[in-house]
Amino acid sequence: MTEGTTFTSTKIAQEMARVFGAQIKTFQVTLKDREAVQTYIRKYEDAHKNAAKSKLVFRG
Amino acid sequence: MMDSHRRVEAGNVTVHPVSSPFSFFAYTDNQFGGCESIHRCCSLARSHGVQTVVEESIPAVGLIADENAEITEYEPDHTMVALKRVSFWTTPFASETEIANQSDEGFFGYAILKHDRVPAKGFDRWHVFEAVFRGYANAHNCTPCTRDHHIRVGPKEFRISGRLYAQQNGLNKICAHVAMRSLLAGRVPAGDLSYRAINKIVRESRGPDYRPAEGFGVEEIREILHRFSIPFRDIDYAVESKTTTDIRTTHPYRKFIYAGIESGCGSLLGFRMAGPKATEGAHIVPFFGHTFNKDTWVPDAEMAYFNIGGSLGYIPSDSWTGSFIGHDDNIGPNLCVPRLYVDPAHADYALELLPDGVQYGGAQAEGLGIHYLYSLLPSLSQSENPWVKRLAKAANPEVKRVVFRAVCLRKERYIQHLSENVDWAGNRENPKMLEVLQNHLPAQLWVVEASLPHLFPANLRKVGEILLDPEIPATDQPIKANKHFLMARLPGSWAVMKAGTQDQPDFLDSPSAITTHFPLLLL
Repeated sequence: MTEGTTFTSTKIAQEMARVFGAQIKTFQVTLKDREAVQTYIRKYEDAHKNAAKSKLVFRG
Repeated sequence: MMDSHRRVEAGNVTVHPVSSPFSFFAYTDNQFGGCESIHRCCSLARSHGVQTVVEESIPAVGLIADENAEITEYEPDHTMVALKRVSFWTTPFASETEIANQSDEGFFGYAILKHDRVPAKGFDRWHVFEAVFRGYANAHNCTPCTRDHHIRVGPKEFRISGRLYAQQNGLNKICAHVAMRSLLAGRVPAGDLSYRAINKIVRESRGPDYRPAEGFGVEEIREILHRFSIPFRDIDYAVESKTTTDIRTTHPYRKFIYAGIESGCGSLLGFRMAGPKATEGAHIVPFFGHTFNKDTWVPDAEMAYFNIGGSLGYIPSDSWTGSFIGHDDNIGPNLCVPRLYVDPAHADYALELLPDGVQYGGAQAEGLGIHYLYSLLPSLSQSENPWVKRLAKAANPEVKRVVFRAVCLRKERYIQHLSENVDWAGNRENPKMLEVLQNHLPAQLWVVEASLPHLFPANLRKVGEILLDPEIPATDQPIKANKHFLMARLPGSWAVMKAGTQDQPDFLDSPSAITTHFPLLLL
């Protein structure tokens, strides 16, 4: 196990290698704009938490 | 108890043939005090070619008896003057004995109409306790959030699929109460939600002197959802704009509303009224569908372009949405509200309901999907597949014209989607691959579909999709560790993250039998 190794879909990868054998290719990807994505998604989470401070009342 | 009012045996039954010269206007004005929302129910029925109305007097049982008891606690001189169950039929008949010959196909919908009187307040009014109507049978109407309701008419039970509408009365329920009931009926374990139960939760927050006519707010809406363990994502724009001045642009309300609709759960929009009603306080309405116009000008005019940050720009699939479909409790059911009609400056609150167990919303799933797809495409740029090439070109930072759509669904539904459809060349996915998916995907998925501007609206088809795990929280650490990514399907290829570092993971590429474009997922 290397530092920072991801395991999200390892089992699927192992199964696909078993089923498809020689048809499998491996390639490396550089993930782009990671900070921008984290910032965008974090804002939704922050907004959700902060909505607990809402003073809005609906009476219309 | 929860549906006994729909199934109770009626007393007096009257059948009205309603073709010309019958006047729904005169009927509503004379029988129901000209109530606007009842006018809306009748005009909806007329527009669908309804030919018969059955009007039944019913006793107050179940939820309605409970409402009467609750109102009396606030207004001791309250009386229920009348209660009618009115059903609308597209088939012509003229007598009570013919009801038994009718079928669900001819049943357009029903409304339970209640007449309350509180002399001390000068209150004497009809309102729609609830109604369910079929939506338009139009390919451009997307209403994935409908539920089945069973209702007795005369001697027989019928089934209608739609979204429950309810109107406020200002006595034990106002807009927030009925919006919550409309949103949660069918979602909560008991199958419906009483106003007494809502008011009990609200009172615990607002204090023992709380009166329903005061309304309630975001705090209580969230508490109600927490009590029923219903996940959601929401935003109060007044709170957020204190720290992020452009929040209404970067995280617009339409993203919450659309995402809630697309996943079949529904959404809420709270907004301030304008014009003469501006001083009446904020209003809140539920949405459960949208209209789709494949010829919309906006995406081609590059005015629908949305940017997450960095080079991650795209065209959201809601760009082709004409209107959101929802209820406004004082106007009536099944209304189309143009997508941008509510000025973002007046939209104060948006809420997206999520399926059970799901930890983040559709807009967040889109963000993750775009991130992974745009990262993968350069590695696949050597592909000979023309659709991969087209997608890679559209994803170019100078172009950014990929259409993305996020849908949350069960694994079985996704596998059914793959197995029952073929691509444009008539290919089906390899059964061995379907077995891998069945055995190893989690129970639920966010499927972020990727398409092109001239493929998505006209053909309702896509080039590929990113599969994400919806049950992992969308917080910084899991995102950094790529915990959400499951697989990517592109023409000719399944890509799976194998190992490697967080910033440069290794992928396996195995063959997909689907080599051209494929139908969209339609719930």
